[in-house]
Amino acid sequence: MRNGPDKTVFTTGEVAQICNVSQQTIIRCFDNGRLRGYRVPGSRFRRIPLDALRVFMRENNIPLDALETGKRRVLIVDDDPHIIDMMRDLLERDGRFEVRTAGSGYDAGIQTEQFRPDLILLDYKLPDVNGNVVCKRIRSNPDYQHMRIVLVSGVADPDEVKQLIEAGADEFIRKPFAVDKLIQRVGELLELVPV
Amino acid sequence: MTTTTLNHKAARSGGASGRSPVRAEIILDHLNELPALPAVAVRVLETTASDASAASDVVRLIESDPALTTKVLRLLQRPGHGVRSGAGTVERAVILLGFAQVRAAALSVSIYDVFRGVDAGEAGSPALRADLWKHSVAVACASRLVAQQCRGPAAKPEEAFVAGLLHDVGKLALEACLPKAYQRVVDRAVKEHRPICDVEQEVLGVDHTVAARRLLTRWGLSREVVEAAWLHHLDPRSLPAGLAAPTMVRIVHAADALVRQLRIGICAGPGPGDVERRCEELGLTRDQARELSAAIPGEFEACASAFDLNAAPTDMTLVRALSEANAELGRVNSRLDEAHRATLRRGRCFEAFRHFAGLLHADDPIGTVAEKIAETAVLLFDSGRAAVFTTITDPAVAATWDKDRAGRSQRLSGVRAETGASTLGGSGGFRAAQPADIDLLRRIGGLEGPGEPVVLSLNHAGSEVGRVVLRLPEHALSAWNTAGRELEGLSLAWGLALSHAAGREQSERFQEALVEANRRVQSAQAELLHRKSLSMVSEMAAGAAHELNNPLAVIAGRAQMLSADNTDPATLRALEIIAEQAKRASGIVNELMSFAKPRQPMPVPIRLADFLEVLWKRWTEESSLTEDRFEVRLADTGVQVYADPAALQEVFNALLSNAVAAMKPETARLIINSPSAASDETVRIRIEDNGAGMDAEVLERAFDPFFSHRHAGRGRGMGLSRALRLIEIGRGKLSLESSPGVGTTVFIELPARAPADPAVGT
Repeated sequence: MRNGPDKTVFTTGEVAQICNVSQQTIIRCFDNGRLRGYRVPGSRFRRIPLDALRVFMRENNIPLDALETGKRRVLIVDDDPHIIDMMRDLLERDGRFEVRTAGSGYDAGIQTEQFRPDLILLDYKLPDVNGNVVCKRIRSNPDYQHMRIVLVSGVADPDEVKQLIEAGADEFIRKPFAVDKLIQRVGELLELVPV
Repeated sequence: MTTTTLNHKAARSGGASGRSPVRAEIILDHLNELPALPAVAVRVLETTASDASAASDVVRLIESDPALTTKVLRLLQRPGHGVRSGAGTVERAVILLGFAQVRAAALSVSIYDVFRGVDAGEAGSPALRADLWKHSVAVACASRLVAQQCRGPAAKPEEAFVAGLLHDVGKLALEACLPKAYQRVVDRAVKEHRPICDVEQEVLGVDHTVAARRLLTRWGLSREVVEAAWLHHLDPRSLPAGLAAPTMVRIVHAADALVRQLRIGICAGPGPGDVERRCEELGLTRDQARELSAAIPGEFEACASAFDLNAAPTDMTLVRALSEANAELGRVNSRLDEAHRATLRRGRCFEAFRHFAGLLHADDPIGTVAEKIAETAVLLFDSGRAAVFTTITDPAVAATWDKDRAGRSQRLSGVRAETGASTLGGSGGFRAAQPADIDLLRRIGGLEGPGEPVVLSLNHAGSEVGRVVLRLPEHALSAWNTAGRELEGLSLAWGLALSHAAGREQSERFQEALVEANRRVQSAQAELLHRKSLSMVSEMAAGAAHELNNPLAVIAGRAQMLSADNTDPATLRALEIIAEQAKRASGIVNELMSFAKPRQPMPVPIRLADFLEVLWKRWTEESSLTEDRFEVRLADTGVQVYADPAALQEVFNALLSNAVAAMKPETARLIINSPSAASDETVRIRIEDNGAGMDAEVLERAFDPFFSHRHAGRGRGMGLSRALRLIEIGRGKLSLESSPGVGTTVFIELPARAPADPAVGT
């Protein structure tokens, strides 16, 4: 089965396969509202969006591995291209992540909408807005509640770090960082099985 | 001519008295109301002695009036002249005495009758008028006598008689027109002992000489008579040039003086002065003058009867003159006595000034100046004790001087100048002490002695600068209060001395304040510079931290990633070093930033004993410092400090780290000592080591960031500067003492509790 990264909508059959349950069970769950989705206009075909599927799987403790095909989406937001390059190399080399990048807060917003990352590595000082603003925006959207946000910054003011955590960041990692520790922490946040 | 001069005089007199010339003219116009000269008098005036036919006409005219004839004959009747009352005729008198005498007599009698005919009403005083006439008749007689003695062609005795008779006709005229006012003029001239002309000017706006000139000119009398009446009050030496009859003026002037000396008739105003000198000016000797003076009373008595004047006996006149002179003498005596006492007082004041000036030095402080004023006041006013208060200094200075003991001065805090009360003796005099003064006296221990305490204000530049307070007996007080000028002089001299001393003291104080202000400005500038450089470093560090940490993160990250692919041990080691150094560089940047922008302290009460115990344990376990080389001594284990725990930890770690680095492990001795008690507001802590110590140069830079004098194993040089900064933020103090080879002592002061003001700290 091909569940590529571009696939955002599933049939009940595909969902049954991913969740490793019968299609009848999926249809029943769809009909009684436990699995949210829509019917194709002009027909009775059921369709389930990726987000709804993921929520369903999480609520029913179904391992997500099958859905992800092992790869989790990570968005790197930083205005320094060298940092972006290094982080991209680091994550891609790990093999468990699908990576996209953004160079500004604005860019980050667009990517978040399209790419729907599982985790964002967010630089605090961006050219347009500060990381805590991006953080707040994401947290204000209920669809993005599951998104993990890791702030990465060279600024180490404890008061600022406190503000970031309050703005909804899951973690603060100071630059420069130990690369293996970064990978480890990202994995933990995404509940991945350690390599 | 003399008109200008005379008008000028009149104008000046009028101006000085405030009378308008208009009023003077109105009064002079009154004179026109006087009756015209009788026909006889007019005819007599028209007739000259040389004109024999006319003379016989005049004689007939006189004889046609029996009353006039009687009077003329009585006037001419004198011992040895062969003319007897009632027995002679006018014609016979002309033969015996010459026409001139008869003519003069007729004229005199006629004019006299004019005034007799004027009814002054109730206001008029017959006695005054009689007195005026007596004087005039006496001067007429005296003028004739003087003229006879002068023997010059201008000295015509019969003309002089008429001129003398009429010299004060102005007074008669003014009296006749304004009897009430003129009585006042005479009274005032007598009472105030002033020249009658001045009083006339003051009261009437016009004097009798001007009135006489008007009247006599109207009547058509000769210029000799007019000028004599007009100018007889002028000093003959200052007569204007161009007069028709200066000799006649002089004769009447001298005659007037002679009569005034004899005090015949009314002689108001000051005495005649040196009469004999005036006679000398007419060419008479002093002996002649005395003879003349002696002859006048007899002549006067003879003539007086002709004018129906009751000539008082000459003896009586003399007695009256004597008694008046006596009274005058008494007045002069009392004035002299007063002047003498004033001179004595002035002498004492002068002596006091001299004494004071001798005591005073240019750089005496204000207290000493006040003492010296008190000393001089004791001497001058013969008082037992005097006090001097300044009212220009704050606090006020009080000085006292006792006659027996010496003086002393003190500052009276909280005493300020208040406005003084009214003076008893005018400006510069003593005034009664007010409650404020009594209060001041009480503060310096009172002021014993007779009399009430009195105050003399000491003034400078129009305001009070101080006060002398002393007790004076009533009689002394009243005596001194008549000496306003002397007291004013004292007040000014003492005031000047006080003001000068106060000014100097203030200028010294200003100078000191200026130096202090300058010092503060410098220290504030240094502080400002320090803050400015800190804030610059802080901004720079915050920027640098971000800018540097990114590339450092890339360096460290890339190195670590490389090492994952590598198996060559040398390459791995190199990559490890790269990563480590990048982290170290980042650490420096972060340290700098936290120095420049330390986080807000969160102070809490910390029990010092607990804190130091933990510290001791860790350092003895984790450093080269062994238990027997590290000692903590506390005077009071209950002592608490109010500090941020993390900051306190950091400070002590930094200080201990420095100490340990400076000491040789085998001889090291570290003592933390606090002598403070739990009740102290500030907790003092000393950290003593016996390490290498620092010289002055190193000590001076010890708190500079990134400064370290350790070459081997040096840190980043931030320890002490950061410790100082953390202590200062926590409202504490940190200082160092060190000597090379002996060791270093760190002095720390920390607040024991939260500040009382909740807005400060936390």
